[in-house]
Amino acid sequence: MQIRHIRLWALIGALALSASFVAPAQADSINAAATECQPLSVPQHNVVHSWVGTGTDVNAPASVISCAVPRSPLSGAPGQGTFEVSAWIVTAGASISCTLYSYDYTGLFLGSVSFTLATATPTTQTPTMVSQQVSLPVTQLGYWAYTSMSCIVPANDSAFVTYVVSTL
Amino acid sequence: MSSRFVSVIAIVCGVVLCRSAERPAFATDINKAAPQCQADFPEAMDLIMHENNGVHTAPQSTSFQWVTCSIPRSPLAANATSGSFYVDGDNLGGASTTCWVSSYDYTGVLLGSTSFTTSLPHYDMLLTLPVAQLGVWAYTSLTCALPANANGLLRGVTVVQ
Repeated sequence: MQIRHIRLWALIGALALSASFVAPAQADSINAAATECQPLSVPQHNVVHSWVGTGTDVNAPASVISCAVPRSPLSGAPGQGTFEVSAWIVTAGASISCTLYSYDYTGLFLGSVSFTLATATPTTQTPTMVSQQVSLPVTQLGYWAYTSMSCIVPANDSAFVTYVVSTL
Repeated sequence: MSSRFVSVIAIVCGVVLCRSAERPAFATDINKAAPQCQADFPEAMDLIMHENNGVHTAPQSTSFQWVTCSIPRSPLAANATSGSFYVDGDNLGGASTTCWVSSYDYTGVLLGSTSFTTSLPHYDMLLTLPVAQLGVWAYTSLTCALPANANGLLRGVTVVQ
């Protein structure tokens, strides 16, 4: 009877152990809509925020925006941090060039990666959503590091940054 | 022999079970840079500059300016007694920065706030709110008075579990 009781607890414990390995804390990702992106460095009244994200107004020139990229720093991280950035391409052939930055909490620049969001071919039917996955080595993503992203959004309402997902 | 082995397994699993209850997977730290912070007042919109590494006032701003930033957070662990926030930035030329973190229930009720003022050239300030003011469904935000003439850079805020 006592042995059966112990076995039952062993089974429950083993299940709990399995569950803790199935859903570790490092499974956390953060999805952030790009509706909070701001004009970079200078006031730019051409930048618009909409339900789809951040871009330029109709009849406005190309602009540079900066977006915070919230992230969850976790122990047991893999060798790199991965980010998926998406854009809504309104006009065929339009593209968005971005750079993702990492800064230590002290302000020290740790690293960056540049990429372009565009449709596979300029003739792809639009509007369409495109995504790009980029990564930074874990050495450039310290526990307390802040990540951000700047993008050149094209003129005339032709493409928007929509969201960024951080996974570490 | 067999029952001893089973007992050891049971004890090990019991310890693991207790530890997993201590810190569930949903409690996590979140770092958020400050480029998304917004001017509090419309007349100050052109006096707030957003950079890749933070936010500051414009050089032509002759007085401090208010900005507010959302602070994404995950609910505290079940046994937590408080939640903390690190706020990072710089002051130039002896300037001073004041910030506070506010917590609002999803109903809009102000649950609590905590603040600091510093003239440190490089600050890494820790603010803490008790668990009673950080409910599972609470929203948190950071409001700062940034020094005039671009004499301060707010880098970001990190939620610590």
